[in-house]
Amino acid sequence: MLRVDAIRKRYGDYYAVKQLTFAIERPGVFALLGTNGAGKTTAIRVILGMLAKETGTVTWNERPLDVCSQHGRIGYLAEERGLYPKYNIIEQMHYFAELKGMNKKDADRSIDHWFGRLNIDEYRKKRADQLSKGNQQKIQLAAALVSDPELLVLDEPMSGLDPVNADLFKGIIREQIDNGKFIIMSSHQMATVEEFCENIVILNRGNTVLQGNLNKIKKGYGRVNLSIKADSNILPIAAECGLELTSHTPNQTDFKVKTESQAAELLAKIVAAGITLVKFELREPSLHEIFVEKVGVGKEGCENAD
Amino acid sequence: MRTKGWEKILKFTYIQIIKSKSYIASTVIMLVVFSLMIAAANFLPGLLSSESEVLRITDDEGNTVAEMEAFAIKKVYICDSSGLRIDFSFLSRFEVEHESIADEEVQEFMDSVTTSLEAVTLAVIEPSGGGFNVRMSRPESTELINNSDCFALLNLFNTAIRDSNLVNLGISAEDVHKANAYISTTVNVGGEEPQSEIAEVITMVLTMATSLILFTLIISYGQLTAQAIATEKASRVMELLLTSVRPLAVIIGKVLGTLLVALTSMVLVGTVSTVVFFVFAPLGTLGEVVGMVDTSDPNLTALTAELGTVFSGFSPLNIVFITVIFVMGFLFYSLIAGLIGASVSKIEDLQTALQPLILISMLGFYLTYFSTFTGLDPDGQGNFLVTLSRYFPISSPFALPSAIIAGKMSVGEITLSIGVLALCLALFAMFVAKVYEHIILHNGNRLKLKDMIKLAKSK
Repeated sequence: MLRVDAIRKRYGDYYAVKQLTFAIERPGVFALLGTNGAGKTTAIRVILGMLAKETGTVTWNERPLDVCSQHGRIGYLAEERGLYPKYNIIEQMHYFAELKGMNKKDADRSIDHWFGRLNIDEYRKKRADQLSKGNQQKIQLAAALVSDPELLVLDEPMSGLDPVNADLFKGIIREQIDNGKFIIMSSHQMATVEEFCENIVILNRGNTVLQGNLNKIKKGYGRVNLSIKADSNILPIAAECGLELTSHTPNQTDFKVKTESQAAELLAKIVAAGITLVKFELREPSLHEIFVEKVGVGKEGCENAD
Repeated sequence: MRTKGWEKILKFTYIQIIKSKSYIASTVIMLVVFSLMIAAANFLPGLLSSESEVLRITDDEGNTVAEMEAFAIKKVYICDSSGLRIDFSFLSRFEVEHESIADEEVQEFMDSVTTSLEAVTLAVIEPSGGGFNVRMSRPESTELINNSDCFALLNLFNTAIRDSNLVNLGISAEDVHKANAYISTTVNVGGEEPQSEIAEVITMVLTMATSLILFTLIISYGQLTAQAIATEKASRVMELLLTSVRPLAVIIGKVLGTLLVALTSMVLVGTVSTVVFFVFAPLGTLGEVVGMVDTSDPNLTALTAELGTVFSGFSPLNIVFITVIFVMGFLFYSLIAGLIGASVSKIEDLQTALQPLILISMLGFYLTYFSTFTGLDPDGQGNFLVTLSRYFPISSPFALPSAIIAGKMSVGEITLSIGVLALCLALFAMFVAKVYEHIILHNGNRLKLKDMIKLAKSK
């Protein structure tokens, strides 16, 4: 179990992370979200011990997390990918595996497995600067997974990947969850986060603005988003019911409703008017919508869904 | 724990540098250049000696009393109108043939000498204003004889005229001979064995070469540390490394890895230089094989003996001292370079950031060079700059080895100088250890020294 308790990091007078507390109690994906410069990468670096923290503690299975004694248990895919540009790929992989405390035999076996799984076997003898960005990213993921870590930190794992490789990465993440791994994921792709994450933290300028179980957070908002597609114009009827229009496109019209009965009233009026409905969906807000709402200008207050 | 894993970084750093094309190419170039320099330095005396013979001057019993360069002039026609009845037989001792001619033959011989293609001259000695005048005529061509050669012979004529004048004044020839006995002069430091001129030259060249080689290795390979760390930062590999090891382990591994590379180069240069030296030496294998040198030549035997004396400066204890100083000097400069490498975020900023290091090292080297090799204090005793260069950490890694080889420092002085360097190294290493963890993941503008000092002071 990973427990992050009140960590704080300051650069001079600027707080990159003011007070971050969360715990990952069982295997799965925990999302660390925020805008650019919100403090996600700093938080990850502090958690992994790369940066000294001003206050707070980070424990892994009740012991302080330490890269020196637990290096084999931690895998990290950094946001800005890093490989030695001029060195042979396979030599770099062996070096990273050795630093993780692996012997050559285990390293060979693991590298063979991940290079096969990620379809990068043919690049073993190449230099990093001879590979495409996507293939370099695959090698980075292999380096993060080579020691079969218990705790995996993925900073923007899908950025820059084509749909085929994005699916490949998602498949590997699912395997890792199934294998009981703890994963911290930082991403701007909210759909991906919703796909994998149970718990989230949203940071804004170093502050925690929202955290907790994603389903509970959504339930807390209630089903307030209404999407309608109809053969005729429904805007006059919606106006009669007092619905707030949020977007209108040829394919769909979106409203914000105050209560579910308001949506029911609109549905009744549409049916009564004899308008054919193609789509009528009342749903909770998406993570994207929650995110945009929470990290808007000047919003720093923290909410905890738990 | 903060240093755990450094040995893996050392191994990877060492292997990757050693097998890189740039290292192989630069090492080959360095070995070829040093080999050519040493071979040339060894061949030159042989080549020069084949052109200018050495003349041994002996006394009446045949004992050598002096050695000098043989005269270029091989024959001189003499018209002696001085009335002193000078005995020119002494010229044979200088391997210069002479032939007396009459006054009326002067013009004829003048014409003959002027167009001669041989090393001959004409000397006319006449009384002049209560004294004497000697006119020496040489061939037009300066290929065989030039004015300097003539003046050298004229010095002998001056002596002969003065001696004959003394005899004519009533002093016996024996007394004149006694008065002209050869006087040998040497200069040496009190309490030390006198060193010959050639040994002094060899010692100076050797110490200069040692300083230069150490300076080249320390600075060029020290900068590799900065390059390696800056590359890891710029390529973001550093973040990956820091999930396995602490920043301190990274810099220790990098510095020691490049130190090992530098030591490998030092051993390579030392081995190849020694082999080349002995193969191309005046009495070396190659010189003997190609018949370039005469191994029975006592001059070369003497030169070899001088070389032996000079190389006695490389005693096992001195080699240990030099290696320790090299290692410490390298660590000192390499730690600075590592810190500079960590202070930049972009590889293109590195060269600018390294400028202060290059200036400091140049200052250290030139402090050594000017104080030791420019005759500021040839004995290296008591001069402030010489003392400063041997105890100041930025120059002592370059100054100490040459002073040790030349035998200019006692064991106590060497130990004190190493102690000063070790103390500075330890203090600087503590500063680096304190600062490095804070700056290794720094991105953005290059950190200045005052920023680093601020970080070192912070908790």
